Amino acid sequence: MMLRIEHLNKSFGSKNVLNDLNLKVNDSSIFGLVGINGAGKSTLLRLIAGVYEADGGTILLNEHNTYLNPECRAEIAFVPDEAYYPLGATVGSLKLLYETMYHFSEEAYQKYLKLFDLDEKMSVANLSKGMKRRVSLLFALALKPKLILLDEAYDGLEPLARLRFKKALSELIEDEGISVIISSHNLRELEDICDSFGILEGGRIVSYGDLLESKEMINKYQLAFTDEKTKDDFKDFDLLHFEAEGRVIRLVVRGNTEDVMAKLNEMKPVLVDVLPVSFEELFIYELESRGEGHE
Amino acid sequence: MNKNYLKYLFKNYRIGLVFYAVLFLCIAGTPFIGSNNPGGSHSAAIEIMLAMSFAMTFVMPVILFAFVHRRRSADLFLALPISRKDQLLTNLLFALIVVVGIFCLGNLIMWIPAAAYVSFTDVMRMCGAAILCFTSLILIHSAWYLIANNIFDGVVMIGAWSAIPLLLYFTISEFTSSMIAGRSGGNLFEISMSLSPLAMSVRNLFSINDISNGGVVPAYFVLILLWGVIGALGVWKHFVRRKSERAEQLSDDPLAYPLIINFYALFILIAIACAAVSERSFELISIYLSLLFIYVVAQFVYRRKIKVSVKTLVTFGAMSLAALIFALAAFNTQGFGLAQRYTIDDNTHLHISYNAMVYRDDLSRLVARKYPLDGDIVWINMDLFIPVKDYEADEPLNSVLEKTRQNGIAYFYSDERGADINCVIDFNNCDHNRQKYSNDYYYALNEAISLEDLKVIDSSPFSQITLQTYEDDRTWTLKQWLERNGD
Repeated sequence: MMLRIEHLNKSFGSKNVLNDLNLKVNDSSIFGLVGINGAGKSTLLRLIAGVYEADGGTILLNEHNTYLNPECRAEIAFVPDEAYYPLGATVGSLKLLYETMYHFSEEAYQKYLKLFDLDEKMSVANLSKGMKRRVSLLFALALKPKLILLDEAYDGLEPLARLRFKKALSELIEDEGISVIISSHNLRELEDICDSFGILEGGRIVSYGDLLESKEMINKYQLAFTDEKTKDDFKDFDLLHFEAEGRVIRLVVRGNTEDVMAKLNEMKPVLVDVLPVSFEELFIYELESRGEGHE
Repeated sequence: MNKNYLKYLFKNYRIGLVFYAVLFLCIAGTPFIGSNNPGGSHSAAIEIMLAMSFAMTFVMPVILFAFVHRRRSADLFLALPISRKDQLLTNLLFALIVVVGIFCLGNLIMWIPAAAYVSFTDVMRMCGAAILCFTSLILIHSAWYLIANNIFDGVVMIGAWSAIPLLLYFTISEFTSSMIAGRSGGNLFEISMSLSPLAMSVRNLFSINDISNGGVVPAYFVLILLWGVIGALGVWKHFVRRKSERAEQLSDDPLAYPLIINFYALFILIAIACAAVSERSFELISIYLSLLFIYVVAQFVYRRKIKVSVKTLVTFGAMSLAALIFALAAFNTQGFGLAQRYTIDDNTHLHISYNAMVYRDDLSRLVARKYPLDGDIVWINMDLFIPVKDYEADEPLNSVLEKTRQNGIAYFYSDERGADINCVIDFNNCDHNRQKYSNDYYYALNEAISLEDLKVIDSSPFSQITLQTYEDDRTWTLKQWLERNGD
């Protein structure tokens, strides 16, 4: 197990942000961290990166505490939502910090410099937001880390850069067995790249696992009946969402598709249609079922 | 200490470092240009280098610890693979190399042309003292900077904390001069100095360079070291144990704005209240309103919000009232009894001087200041310079002067205080050659010393009483005066 978080607590003053959070992220995995605004995603990433000190609990990267053991932070590349660039910095001048403090790979640096269409002489202050993101990602990749933390850093990349970054990540995962944790609001993008996910809510990971398996376990069902039905008629299902329009019912149900279909057919519907859910829908329905969702 | 991080700091700041070192040496070397007094030029060069190094003890903490005050830079620098302790030690080492290293290097270079006039031991003595003073100052300035949660507040904190000894000096001076009869300040300057590591360092380092700057006070080195320890504890608490999430927040640490604003307000209010009570002048509404305005603006700066809260007004009102009660209590208890504390050092001399403008036909009758200066007036000057033991053995003399001193105390706390007359008596301890003075007690009087008492004083071999007439500008001894007037 590469990253293991146990009973993590973090408060800002009287506000409890993370509350007894537990999480495991495997090697060679891209983990999508999602949650509503203020759920604590950035806080969690800063805690993993060793920027914040936890009030309680442990964060272990290959069994080393990331806050107490600074050496293991050399294995972590943290790309925050808004990266810091010193006044007058050029892409080349930023290299100094990384090459003196991390296991910096000049070869990888040159490779990704070309991949992201960047030049060492470029002044960072004059770059667009998307180009600045590329600079941050360039250094994250050039450090050859074991764990990359991307705090909304994936958002804002234009499609070609995103594609290149995805390719670079895939290579690193394949060759080095690295893990990546991406927090993002763009769930469609995450769906393309992540193999596992965690939904952060109320300071805890309320749902997590393999993305594909989870998506397979949640489906949308569209049914038509000869008579009108109410939500109570479906109380035996693990219902995440219910919507009735006359005799047409739309449900989102958690459970094995075959088992759910069998139970639904017992209700003698005129029509049954099964549709897969997207990651975005999965997120919305999960939160909705917990009373935090968006209509 | 982390070698990689130190290497990074050197590489990152190399241009600034080289620029500062060259500028430092060039400016320091200017006194030697066209000079034919290498000894004097060396001393002037050291003064320049000291001034620049003192300035750098303020600048370096701001440069090196600014990253904790910005969320984005905190994300970068606090995620580095280096412990907070090592990061702190490396930053401090780098600051020391810049400040102390360049100062000592400059010291050695400037010594070369003055080697015939300045001993190498003196150079080493200066370097040793500079290491102690600058290390302590960097530590304490860093601690003050780190109390805050953003860069602007950090700079304000360094300034505000540095100026506290000055504020205390101002307030205590006002308190003693308004509330304690006879106290004109005494050792206040020394007390304020001991609260300021900067002032003590300035005094001692400049005195090592040139004895005419007041002389080195060895005790100050101990206090500077103590301040260094306090600074080290401060940076440990506010950097190593710092919660990174403080970046860009309001500077609400108990030692930041909450203390600074109220501390400054309270001490200024005490000074105002002391002045008001002492002068019997309670028409200070405009001063109070101005101070309230400054207090409210300071709260705006602290909270980054233009909103006057009831709490702010109530706190200010409560502090004003407390200061006024304090001043009234102090005045009505004769400065909490301090007016009766009269210290004379047994091993020294006593110097008592008395001056009064009186009528020539009655030396105990004081003349109002606005009275026209004509033939009616005479100035009495008394100068008594006596070993303390002799003074204490001379009962009649002692009795007369103590009576006069008590008159001065009574007048200080009376409603007549501030009358338009010229009559003062000053008691001082001093050494045998009247170089070093201490225990200064200064009293205004509303009653001149009577002729009988003047005769008692004049009978002492240590005393000299002279009278100066205004009309012919002649000076007489008391004996001559009495003989002339047939007394």
